[in-house]
Amino acid sequence: MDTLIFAGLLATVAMMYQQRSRRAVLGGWWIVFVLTCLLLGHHITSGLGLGLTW
Amino acid sequence: MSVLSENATDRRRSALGQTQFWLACLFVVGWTGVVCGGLAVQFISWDYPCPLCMVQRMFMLLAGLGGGYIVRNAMNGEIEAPDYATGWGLALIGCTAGGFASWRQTMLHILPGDPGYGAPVLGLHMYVWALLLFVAAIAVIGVVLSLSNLTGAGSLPAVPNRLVGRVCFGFIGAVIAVNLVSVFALEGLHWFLPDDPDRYRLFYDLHLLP
Repeated sequence: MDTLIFAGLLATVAMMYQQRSRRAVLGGWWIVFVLTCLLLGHHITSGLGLGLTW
Repeated sequence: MSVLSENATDRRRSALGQTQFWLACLFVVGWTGVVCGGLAVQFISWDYPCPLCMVQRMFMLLAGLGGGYIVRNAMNGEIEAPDYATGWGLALIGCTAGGFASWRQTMLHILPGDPGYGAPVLGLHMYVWALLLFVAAIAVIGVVLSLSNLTGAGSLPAVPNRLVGRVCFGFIGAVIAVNLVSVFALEGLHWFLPDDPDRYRLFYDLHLLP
């Protein structure tokens, strides 16, 4: 997953530099962003409170 | 107003009008530089980055690409207000999500006596630096946007902006490529990194190392 996300980042940079359409560039960025959020969610294995006194 | 003072005012406005372009360059180079710091700790101190560290690197690069969007459009000499807004919007989203990830990792090690993950750099752990930088970046974007009538010129000089833009894209592209190779070696032929990586698994998956 991490490897795929970095590959997506590289592809997004390439599309941005080549000035592909706004839809393609933003689509690439958002796909990478959502995948990164899903990865973050996967690694958050306990509650956000962490048993601390807030 | 005399002609001389009008010219001086125009020059000041022209220089101030490029502020967002140069800040966008700083975003690309700055976030990429921070990721380079992570790579330095990884390969010089030989620390294995944890999964949340990698997630923060991704958000840093996504925030940097927000600046990259502005830089690339400005390299043409003309940039419109929606392009500035799009770039800063992407940067803000990246910084907010990255701030959340680094806050989460900071909280995991907040209890007194917890040694934290990895070695501290300049007195703070990497994820605490990341949290401070994400919050600072959000504040800087807010300040510049609040002055956008002065700082966001529509026309920008081709020299040296085009060259600066190429350098920015070369830098971020190269660092992403290095991260891609490095994380592939770390993750190997698996979907996810282990919670506490202790080796470059690709070499073991391929039986190149016993």
